[in-house]
Amino acid sequence: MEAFGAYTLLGLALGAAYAVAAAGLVVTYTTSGIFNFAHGAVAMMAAYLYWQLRWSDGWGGRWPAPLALLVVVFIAGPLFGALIELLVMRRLRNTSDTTRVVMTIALLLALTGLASWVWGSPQARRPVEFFGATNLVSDSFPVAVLWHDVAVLVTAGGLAAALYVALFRTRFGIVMRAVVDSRSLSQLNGVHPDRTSQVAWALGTAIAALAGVMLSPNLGSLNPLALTLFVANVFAAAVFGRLRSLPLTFAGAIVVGLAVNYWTWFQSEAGSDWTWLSNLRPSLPMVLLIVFLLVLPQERLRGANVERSRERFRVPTVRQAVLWGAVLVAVIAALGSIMEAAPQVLLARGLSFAIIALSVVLLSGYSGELNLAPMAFAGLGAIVAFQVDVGPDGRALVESLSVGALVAAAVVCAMVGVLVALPAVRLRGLYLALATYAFAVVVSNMVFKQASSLQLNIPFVGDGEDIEVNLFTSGVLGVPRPRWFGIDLTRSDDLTQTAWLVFLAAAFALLGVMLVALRRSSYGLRLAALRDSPAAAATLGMNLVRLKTSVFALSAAIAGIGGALMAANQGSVREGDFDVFIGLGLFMLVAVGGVGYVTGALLGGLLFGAGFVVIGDLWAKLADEITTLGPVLRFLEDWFLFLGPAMAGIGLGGNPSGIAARLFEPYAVLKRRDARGAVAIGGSLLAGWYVLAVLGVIGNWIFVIGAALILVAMPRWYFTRHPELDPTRRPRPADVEALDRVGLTDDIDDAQAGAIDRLLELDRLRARVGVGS
Amino acid sequence: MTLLSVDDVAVTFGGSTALAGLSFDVGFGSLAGLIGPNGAGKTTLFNVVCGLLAPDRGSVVFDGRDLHRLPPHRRTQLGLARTFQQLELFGSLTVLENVKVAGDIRDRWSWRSARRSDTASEARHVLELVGLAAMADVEVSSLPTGQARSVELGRALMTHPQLLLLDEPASGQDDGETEVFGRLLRRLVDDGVTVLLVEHDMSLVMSVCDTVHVLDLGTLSASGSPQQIQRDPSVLAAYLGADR
Repeated sequence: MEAFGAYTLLGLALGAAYAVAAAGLVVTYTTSGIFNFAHGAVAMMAAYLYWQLRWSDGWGGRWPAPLALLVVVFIAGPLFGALIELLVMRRLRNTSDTTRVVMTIALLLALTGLASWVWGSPQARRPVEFFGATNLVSDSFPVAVLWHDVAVLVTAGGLAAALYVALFRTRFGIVMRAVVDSRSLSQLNGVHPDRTSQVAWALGTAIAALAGVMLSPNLGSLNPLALTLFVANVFAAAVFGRLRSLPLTFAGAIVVGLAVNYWTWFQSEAGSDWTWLSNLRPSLPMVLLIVFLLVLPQERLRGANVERSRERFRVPTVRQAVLWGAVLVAVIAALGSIMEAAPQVLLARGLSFAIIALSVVLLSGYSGELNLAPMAFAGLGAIVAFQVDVGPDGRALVESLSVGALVAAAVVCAMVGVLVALPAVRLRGLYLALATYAFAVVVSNMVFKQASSLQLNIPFVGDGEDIEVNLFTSGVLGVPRPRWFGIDLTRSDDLTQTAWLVFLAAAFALLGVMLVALRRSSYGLRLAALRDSPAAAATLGMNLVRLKTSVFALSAAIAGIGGALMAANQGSVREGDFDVFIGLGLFMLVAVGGVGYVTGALLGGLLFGAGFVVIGDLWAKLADEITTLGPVLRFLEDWFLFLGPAMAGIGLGGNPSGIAARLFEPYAVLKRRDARGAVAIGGSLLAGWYVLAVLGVIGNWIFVIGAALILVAMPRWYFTRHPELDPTRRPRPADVEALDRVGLTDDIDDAQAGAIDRLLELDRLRARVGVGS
Repeated sequence: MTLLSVDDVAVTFGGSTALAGLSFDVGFGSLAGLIGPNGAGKTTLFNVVCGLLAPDRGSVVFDGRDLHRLPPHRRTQLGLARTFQQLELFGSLTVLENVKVAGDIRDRWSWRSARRSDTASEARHVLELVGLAAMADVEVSSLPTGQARSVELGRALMTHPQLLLLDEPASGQDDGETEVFGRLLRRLVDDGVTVLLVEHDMSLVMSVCDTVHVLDLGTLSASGSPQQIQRDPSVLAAYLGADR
């Protein structure tokens, strides 16, 4: 009985700390409509900062606890919240769910990157509980209950009371709730919604900071990723409160805290029969999150969630897609043949990520459904390919990646995709993102970490004998490369390596063309309809469940094939290769590339798999050359390695359609008849430059820089003669918005008149009809 | 003969009552108008009939079949189609694609390419009907409201509806467009489509409808021919807020 009491008290204490963290999440969500995926990362940063001030012997260290708490919770936390509202979140109005989710993921990755950068050295940083280590229960128990736990309980109670008073008894609380109900109406009543949001964000991050400090001792020594995931467990509590109700959120947090501790108790009593579920404990909150999502009352079918979202994607024709696919394969072949081994490996890595990224384009880009678990499906694909070709005991059955293994990876992932999608079809947008996030965490913990073989006694299977299940054999899966049609890609010489690159590029191109064809088909039209307005689609007779399930399955199959190829590319994969954070990073960079475009997947995959490493490397090389600037260049190297991807993600707010369109837009003019000169000269220059590289006259870096200059110059040169066609001279969205406000009653000055001319593209019109301006 | 029968339908949102036991019938082949001040529950009724919203109580019977718990897409397959007061267009598609996709959804079991190309030519035909033939390849998000409403109408027609629920289809149209639209409605009814029309443009309602139902505070306050309704004092009261 006393054990029950101890576990209950611990459960309540954990639940109380979760409740504090979840309250911060709900406060920001209700006031700004943005669910902060970076909430755990904010808490993690606060825990590090507190540790630095309170316990470190380095800079800042050894402050008294109250002073350190004051600085972390009441100064750094709110300032940071106000700052991210101002710099990041304010730009998210009229964007889709995808862009909003991506933005907070970028923030998450920025914070974990920053923490790894600043506190990256392997020294153990152990946060200490408040009020020392006096055990309040008998020492014979497997767990200790500390004053810290009691303090957490008291703090949560106090915070609940304070939040209640602040939200329901003060003028500010009323204003805040008014902004939630109707931003525009509250504005008419003299409320400043931006400022209110800012205060809410400050409050939310301050609460997150408090939670971070309180929760960090739970994990032993500090680790950026582990602590972020640990605090992110409170998503379950927030969903229990339907992201709006604080009392229900507190209740949900207590449920999660108790469940985790009772499970620990059960496991310590149950003994070895349950070892196969030993990884359930860390994923239990995410399992609960999925359960909470499923029992939530069904959301009403919504129409378009924003009046006119800023994202715009053009769909190429299948012919264009085939052409560009061929160009990609040719370019990769040309580059591969002059590359050295190290960049070849990087490029192959980028291409394999790009293939996985295609699954994101299909699901999020074409159908508007959010799947934060692309790497979970990729990992499952790798497991299936391994099991088919190598076998559970790790002894190779065949020496080449078989077509059967790829097909099996696709089929199994599609089936798992259906299993995930069926309960998730009721969900949309943010809720689906949360469900797939939870799925990714659970698969990471329960499947990819299952390194030892399991003896399972499954009823009705195997005649009552134990069945050996070996998922992630000794934590490493070795998957061979293909040897098809007499072409052996398993060797390691230069030519084979180039052939392998071409193989990956061709696989990407093939899948990409298939995606474009799919989008162009009537099935693709239906996907677009589903994305633009589910309500209208349903009232036109569309079975949303069937469509969503099928597209989820297709997307999972692509990710599975990508995962198998990624494993074959690397030769062997570990559980860390399919981590939740890898999936989040890839998803984010596909959005940066342009989630509605196959090219976006290519850019996203290449950036994620290779881009930032290459850029970081470049600075490192320069640092070696220019020793006087060494520290600055080393700083730039670290900046790109740790923060580069996240910064690219945050940049998405200014350009939600991604960079693919913008990057290729200028080249459209090269199709014009009078641009043939530019194409011919540019093409010959490129070819000549390439020959010089093949002959070894110029180094590869010189080749890359020169080729990039020629490519940039081709349309630019044309624009010097036809400036009216230059897309960079088109009005920016901000100008358009400003012009919206120019009414007929105002005097229009020259600048505004010029802007209106540009907006109406009058100079283009003049150029077309041959009238001077 | 009755095509749609709404019986004692009630819907509340939190504390406010949107529909309070509403009952009325729409006959086969008729053009029925549904009018009432803002907040009377007209759009809520449409949402209940097409299955986007479950009523607290009451039943909706369509063509002799109780629609209870039937999802929206099944209702459409039975012959119900609607447009939306707040436009619900597929913003990333062109005008033609918006209409064509409805045909593709309708023909979901048809894998024969012949049928599929049919939906494209049928869509062009429908665009002619609603007066948008010239706009086929325009991105729908760049259309003015009046024309965007016509796209929604065309899209609904592609489902081959028996009953068409139109939610303020004429708002955003100028007088000339409204007149053309009225003629189109009559033509649809002549072709056998039953229409339930929610509209604030009284001249349109009174000129084209066979019967008019007046909704006020979630209940039916009057029903009858346009002439009867125009003389009904309770209608004036509902609109002008006078004592009853």
